[in-house]
Amino acid sequence: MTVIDAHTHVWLRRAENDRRALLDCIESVPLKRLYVTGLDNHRPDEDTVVRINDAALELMRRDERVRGMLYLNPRHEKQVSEEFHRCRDLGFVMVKLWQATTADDRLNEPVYELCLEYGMPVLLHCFCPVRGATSDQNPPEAIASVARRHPELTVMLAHEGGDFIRGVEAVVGLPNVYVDFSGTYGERGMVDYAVEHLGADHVIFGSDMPGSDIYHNLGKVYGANLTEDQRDLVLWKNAERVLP
Amino acid sequence: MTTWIDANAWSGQFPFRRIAGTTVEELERKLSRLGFTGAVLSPLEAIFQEDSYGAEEALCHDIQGRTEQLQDVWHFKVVNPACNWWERDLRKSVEALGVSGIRLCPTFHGYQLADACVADLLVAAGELNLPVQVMCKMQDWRIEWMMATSDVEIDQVGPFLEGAGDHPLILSGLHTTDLRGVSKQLAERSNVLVDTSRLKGSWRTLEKLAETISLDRLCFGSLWPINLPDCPLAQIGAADIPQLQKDAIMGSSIMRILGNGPKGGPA
Repeated sequence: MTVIDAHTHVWLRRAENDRRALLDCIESVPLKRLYVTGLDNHRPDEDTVVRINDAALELMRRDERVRGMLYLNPRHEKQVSEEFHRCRDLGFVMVKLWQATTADDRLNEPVYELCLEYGMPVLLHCFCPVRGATSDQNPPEAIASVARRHPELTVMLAHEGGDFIRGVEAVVGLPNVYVDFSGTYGERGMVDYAVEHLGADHVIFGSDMPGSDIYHNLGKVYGANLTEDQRDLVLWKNAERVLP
Repeated sequence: MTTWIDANAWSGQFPFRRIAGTTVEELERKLSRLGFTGAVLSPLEAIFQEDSYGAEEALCHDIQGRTEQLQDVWHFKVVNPACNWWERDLRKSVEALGVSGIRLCPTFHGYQLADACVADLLVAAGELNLPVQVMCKMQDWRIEWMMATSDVEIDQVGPFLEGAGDHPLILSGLHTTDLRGVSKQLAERSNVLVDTSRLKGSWRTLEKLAETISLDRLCFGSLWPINLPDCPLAQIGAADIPQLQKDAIMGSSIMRILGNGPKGGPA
């Protein structure tokens, strides 16, 4: 079984532990490829943004199967371009935005412009904001609005928005949006719903490791009603086709 | 024959999302295909209907008429101890339906484990020799699209376990990190099991959990049909732990609680 994990993290406060876990995971599963981004708090300062990316870079240097997603805090308007280019020069191939802003915040526009200019996909955190959660959880409708505004931008919507029905429905008919079903608790129908409404060629496997066990996430694929071809698309072929 | 039990299975419709294939027959097909030999089962409707006896009766009928792809099915009755008629309803269910255990769903029924009604229920459960399963959480709050449920306060779980003495208990829906808060009580009580339905963990989840609790305090639970049994099953299958511990999680530990009880249907 071939697997590409398109959604993993190194948390700054436990970076070495996470790097060891991800390297162990690459060998054990084994993974054909793994995409990683560093993370810390929701609104890291400029120095922390650099350290976050360096934490992911350290993992990229240890295994050629690791590909980096550079993290940016769009609130640091002056830093965005500089950090983007620094990381691009170091070999990062994608951008990840988390909860510093919502996806349709005007502050994100320079990031999207850079992604378009250099052909980098962007992974956008997405959880439907409910019960007191901050709006920066990133509602899927905000991501859909970005995808409509930038039809050439390749967008990955993370976690299917948590509420996978709302998350998937928000991006139906948007060919530049791909979804992952990383994290969450193994809800039945999560993979099936995305495949049915977006097509198997728009669903990409991710685990959210180390926030969630990769095998738990693989179980979502094992338990879905997919053909062998659809399963291969989800587990690795889509990632290989769409992501650098 | 290897005994694999899903200690957290349900049948019927979940009101917040359309889920295909939620009958007892579908459950049997799904679990037996994965290698399971038994399940602990309740009707989802009984959580949400005020007059839930009818849902329990219907499930009893379905269990009796099942195809027996699963060797053993234990019917646990959903009890809401905040309702004034719960005890009469429970005793009737034991006599007429032969239920083998109790499921509590405080997150939907709006009480806490420290409430007096829970202590009363434990007394009745003791008299009736019925294990009690607590659904500490059934859905992640971030996907509750219509109705927000309250959480079981994790700091009430420890005192609840202490108050229950040696009565057989199953805790379902605890997150991996929750277990740290109750590890002391779990270590002291072999009558308490925790199911796997929300142990999505991190990397090498079970290997790490073994540092916190003895793995024979875990039992397999899926929360079917809301969640997939394939997820915890994949975790357990890949875990680098002794086969004896896997056997305990998959069935032998829960059999300590279920072994001598009835298996659905009127006594």
